[in-house]
Amino acid sequence: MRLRIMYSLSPELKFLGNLDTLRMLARCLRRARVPFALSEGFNPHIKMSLGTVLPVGIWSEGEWLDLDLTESMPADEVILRMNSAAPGGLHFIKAEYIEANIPTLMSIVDSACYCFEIAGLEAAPEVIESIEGLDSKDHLKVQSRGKQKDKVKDLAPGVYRIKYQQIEPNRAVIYAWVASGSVFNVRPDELMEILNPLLNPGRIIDCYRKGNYIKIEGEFKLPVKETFTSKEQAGA
Amino acid sequence: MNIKDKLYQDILPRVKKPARYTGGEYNMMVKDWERARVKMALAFPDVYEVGMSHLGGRILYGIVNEQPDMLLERVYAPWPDMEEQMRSEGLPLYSLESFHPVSEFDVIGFSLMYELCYTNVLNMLDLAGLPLLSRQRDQNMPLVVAGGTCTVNSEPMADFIDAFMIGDGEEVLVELLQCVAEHRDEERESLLRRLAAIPGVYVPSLYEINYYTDGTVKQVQPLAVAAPTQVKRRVVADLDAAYFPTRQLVPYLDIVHDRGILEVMRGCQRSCRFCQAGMVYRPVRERSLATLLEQGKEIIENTGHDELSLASLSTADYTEVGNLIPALVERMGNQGVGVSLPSLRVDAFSVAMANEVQKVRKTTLTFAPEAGTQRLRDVINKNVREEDLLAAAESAFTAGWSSLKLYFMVGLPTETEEDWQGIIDLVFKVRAIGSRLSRRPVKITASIANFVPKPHTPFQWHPQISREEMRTVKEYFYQHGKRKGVSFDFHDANTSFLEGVFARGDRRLGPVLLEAYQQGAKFDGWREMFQIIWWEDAFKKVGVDPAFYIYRHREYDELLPWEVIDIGVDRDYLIGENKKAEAVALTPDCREGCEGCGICPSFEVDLDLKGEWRHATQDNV
Repeated sequence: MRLRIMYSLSPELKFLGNLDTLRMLARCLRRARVPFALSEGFNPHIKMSLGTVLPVGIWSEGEWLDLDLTESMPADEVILRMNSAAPGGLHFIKAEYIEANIPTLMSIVDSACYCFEIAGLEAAPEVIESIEGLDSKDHLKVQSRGKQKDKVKDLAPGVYRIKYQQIEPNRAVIYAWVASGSVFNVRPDELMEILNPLLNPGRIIDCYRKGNYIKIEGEFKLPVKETFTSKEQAGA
Repeated sequence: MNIKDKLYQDILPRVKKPARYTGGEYNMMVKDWERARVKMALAFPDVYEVGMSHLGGRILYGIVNEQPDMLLERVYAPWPDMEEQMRSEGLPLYSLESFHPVSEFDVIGFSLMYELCYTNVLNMLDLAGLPLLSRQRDQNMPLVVAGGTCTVNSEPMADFIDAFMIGDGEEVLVELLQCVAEHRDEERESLLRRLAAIPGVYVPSLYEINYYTDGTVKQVQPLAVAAPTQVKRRVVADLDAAYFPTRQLVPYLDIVHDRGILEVMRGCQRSCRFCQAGMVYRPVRERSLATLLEQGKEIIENTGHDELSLASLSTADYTEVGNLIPALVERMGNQGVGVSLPSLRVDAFSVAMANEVQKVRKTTLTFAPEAGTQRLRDVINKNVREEDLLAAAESAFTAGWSSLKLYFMVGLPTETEEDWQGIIDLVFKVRAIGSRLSRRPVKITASIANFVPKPHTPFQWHPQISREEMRTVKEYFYQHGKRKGVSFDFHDANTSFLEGVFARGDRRLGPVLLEAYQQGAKFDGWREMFQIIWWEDAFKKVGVDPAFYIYRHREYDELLPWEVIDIGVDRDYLIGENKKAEAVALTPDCREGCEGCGICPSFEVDLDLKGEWRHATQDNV
């Protein structure tokens, strides 16, 4: 049976690479004595899989993990045990059992929301307009930071929605819903390259991932059971 | 802005592997800064991944932090990219637990495991904003102490370290911290006198060294009543009763030895004559099977590691190993937890043992025959026969391994060209066995180290092989050792040269170290950082001839600079062993009969074996 788990990584853990995170989760599971399943073979490892990779330097409020169990344990109990065995900064939020026909995280999570915290900016209406207008541009060309470095990449098809919010004087947040995953990926550092020139004199002091989503008809849905059942109903 | 905020915002995004500098690992112990009576920074003069792998550090971390009024936090040497950021941003060396500047601690304790980390000690003191020389620091600055294997010859670091702790650190460190807590406001010299009175503590500034005109040591004169003529190494007599940490730190990064460590025993009494560890960690003290099973279980439960390493100088020699391994595999195998062995003895029994723990994960097996001919193996008292190695190879290839690594040394006393050819012949024989038995193409890697004579060993009087000779050997292997599936790796000649100078150096090397550091030397153990030219220049500038330390034959009546440290093994025993080497005579394992090295009577300790020792190891699989 498979459990889908949502967790967060605090700013303390933002410098972990993807392999570091996997190792941390595996060790946490072992300490928590959750009845995880092991892979067959000579070098058995815990059967779990993550959604999209969290870039180094970014923390997150909503990451996802699929975990196979050998015997049933109430989801709340799993969360309780894992939280008591987690290092500071790793927090498990919720879990639910999913049926075998629910698609894997990797195959469905296709978008993410990044938050950029800005200091030193009280944006004029036209600045806000230019920031929020980024999601309807025809082209947003940047130097690629991903695998194909040196190439120019057009982010426009993957920038879905941008919102600017003044939190207090001198402090603002920009929310960016963008493509994420294997098909098309907009990296937060690429976004910063677009945002930075617009923010002067403000500067980005923090960036985190608000969540991972499935983009369905312009809506950003969580990869939870409800999303799939309501989709079926909508289809029917 | 405090250190942590500055790090996260400005510094860490710009460096490689930032998780080296953040701390926060599971099982990290953060104690109340204000309430600790004495605060120590445990400083490891190498990168995080190396320092975190070190067993001694794990033990001391737990032992000090479990004292209610003491606090111990960690710091590792920042890699040059991080150092550059720290220097340009004015960030001092800080601890990973509470991000306090290292200069705010009462004590900084360095772990000296390798001679080529000495410049890193200087660099870390500098990054902490402290004067490098011991005599330039006063009671308003942290006390700088050191422990670890290298302290059995503390002399080259005597100018920089206030006090050395010699031997097992479990007890002496707590005693030293207690003394600092009680007397820290006293003048530095007064505190040092108090420390010198603690058994196992060596305060180099309380000794004056007089030299003959030929440069050898004439006399070592204690300058204070508290300073003993010889400082006796500390030995934990009962390992079962000693503290061992089962809440080991769980790193995020992939460190060098990324696993839980279970120390099955301390010491080794095979009496290999080149081996420093075999001499300076005597006697053998084992942990009981029951203790180890309990500690092993706790380590896995508390860390979540998927691998448990059975650490010691020779785990196959642990008398209960035949019961320990199956019991651990049975208890942990179903949780996907593996058991690993850091070193194997050269025999079929060891291969069977490795086969049991590794089941089918057939990575590389490593053996250390050390020398290529029986004559030379007898000289160094490495009790391995050619048929042992060939039998081990046969078992390994039959069991499915296709890749073997063999460790050898060159530059051993009495060595000739025949012994080099012996290595080549032996490697070829092993390869031939592999080709016959293995279904896959075999790969034999022979690692050829340059023998570096170490203090407190029977070979401490011998000259070291020169860099030119090392090149001749290498050339010989290139000419005669070419064969498919076989490769020879050589240790860097300049690195071995420098290691040799400092291993048997004295305190007149202090200025050389300082000069080389000022020219830019650091991370000398890292090939990409090591520049011999800085050292050559430093020797010239200071006017010290390195040949005096490594190329000279020492006489038995010479007073050796490191003999101010009493490791517990008699000088006469070492001389006897050296003479036996010249006569190609063997010394059996001391478990088969006492050879009178002197450790047990003079230190009031004893061999502590938990099971029955049987020499015929093949039959106890």
